Amino acid sequence: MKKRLGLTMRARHIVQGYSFISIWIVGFFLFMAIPLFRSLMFSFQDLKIMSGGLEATQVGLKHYNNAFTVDTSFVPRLITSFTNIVIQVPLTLVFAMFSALLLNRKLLGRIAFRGIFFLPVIIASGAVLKKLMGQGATRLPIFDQVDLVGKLIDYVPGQILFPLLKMMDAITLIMWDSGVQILIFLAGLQSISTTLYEAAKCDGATPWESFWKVTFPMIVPMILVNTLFSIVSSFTKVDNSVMDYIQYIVFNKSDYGYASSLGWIYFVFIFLVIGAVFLMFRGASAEERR
Amino acid sequence: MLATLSGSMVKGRRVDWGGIILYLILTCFALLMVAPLVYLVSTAFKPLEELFLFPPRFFVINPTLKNFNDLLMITGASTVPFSRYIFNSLFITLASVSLGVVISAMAAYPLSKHPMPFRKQIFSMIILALMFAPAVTQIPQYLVIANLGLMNTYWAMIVPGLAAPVFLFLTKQFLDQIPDPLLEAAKIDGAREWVIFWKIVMPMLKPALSTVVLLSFISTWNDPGPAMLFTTSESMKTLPFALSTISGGTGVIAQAGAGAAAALLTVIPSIVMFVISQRMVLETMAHSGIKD
Repeated sequence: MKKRLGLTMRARHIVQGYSFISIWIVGFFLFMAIPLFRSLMFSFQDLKIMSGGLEATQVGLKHYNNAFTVDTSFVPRLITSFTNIVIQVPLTLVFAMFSALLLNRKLLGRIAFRGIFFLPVIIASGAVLKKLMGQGATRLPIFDQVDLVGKLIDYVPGQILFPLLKMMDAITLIMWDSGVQILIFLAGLQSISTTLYEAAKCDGATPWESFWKVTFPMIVPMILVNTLFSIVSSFTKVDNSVMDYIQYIVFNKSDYGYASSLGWIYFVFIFLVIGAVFLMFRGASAEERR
Repeated sequence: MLATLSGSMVKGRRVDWGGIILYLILTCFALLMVAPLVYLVSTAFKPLEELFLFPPRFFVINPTLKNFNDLLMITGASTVPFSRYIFNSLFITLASVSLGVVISAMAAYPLSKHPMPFRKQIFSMIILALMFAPAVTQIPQYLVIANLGLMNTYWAMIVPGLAAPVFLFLTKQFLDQIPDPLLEAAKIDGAREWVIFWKIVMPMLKPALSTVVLLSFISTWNDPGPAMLFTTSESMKTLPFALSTISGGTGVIAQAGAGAAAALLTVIPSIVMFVISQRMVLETMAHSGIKD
């Protein structure tokens, strides 16, 4: 190889690296970074659509104040989507883990089962899911038919009962939503070396013990990836109530400045939630993470 | 691992309760998982009076093909032939999936395997971008496209999706697991970076990339957003956008049947895509040499 431009080995390495990533970076700046920056500017402005384009007047922090003080529907929606996360993400993880463990066993028609478990990811996305929800097909009808609430309220205190019922209600949706998570867990399970299980077995570990002592610790990094994935996808889903509201303000009320500031508040909020998750995992595992 | 866990499956002639319970659970789950597809199919064949039944029924009682007829009538009446929408959608989806996958892989490779300055910063930027609500960037994106003079072109609908951070994130996560010595060996044998990328990195990433292809196909195919934002002419509309105007929002009762039929037809390409890539996607890690 001839030495190009008299660069050192290391410098050439860096140039090569950047030349690979450059296309993506250009795209990222044009269609993500610049729009993001603009929307941050917009969030401090009042925008009017004029014939010649957008006309902006500086209003400072007005939008941010309004979001918390004037607007009566933003904060409740924020709280709803937060409680949804708290309820749904752990359930998704447990269900995905359980399914992945089952699907990782050797059984007849394993590929077919895996395919079926991934099917809702393809079908129940966006428009179709909305239709299903509108028809009430995503709720288990048993609860309404037998008046479960009325029967159980005598035995179980309301603070426990209602979140519990809400969980049960969301369970079909959770199952349909967990295809990608199952896949990620499966990938993780398959990368655990067989010798570990053999060693555990030789030492007399029961399957139960070898799950908690071998499988679980090995799969912690995947749990982190899945938690992040679930949180982000649930926060940015089109049918999320805050997203719905922002969409509505952008397209129906054309109040773009206000929508931008809501978007940024929402972003900070998600950021905090994810930061908290990271801290939790840092406490839970001392192993190397990516 | 499979061998150790499957020990409980076959035990001579004794009844294998563990195996039976396993199958029962899996079958129950599988039935629930198939439910949306069944619902979609049965709704497409429902006559009008069944569509608006309350409480809604899951299965169709008197199946009819009228919905598909209606769909043909409605689409036949529009100024642009229906095949044009299909072509637009197919072209845009295929172009943005194939370009997007290559670009994501190209970006993921140095991020994962090259020691270079600002690598960490770029990666945390990607993670930050993941968390941002897309609705907010839509109007500035529109401004960028308009300033570039790309309105009403295929470029406008392909290019903005290429820089999607999700797929770069996924690809990079997979790439991290490919052992470095493999690449070093190629380098010692005198392979150039470009050759390493196409001859080693891409083949090794194949299972992971097919997952990315499938996911990005589904999201691009179903997303009416770009067509809604970046086109004004009828002939540039994509299928999901055209269909969303057919079912006409919530108020239009007469066309609800056609909408249901259309929803079924839109899902079909995604299913075909899934069937094609299924083996690769579902066996993602098994053959990629990740175990060493």
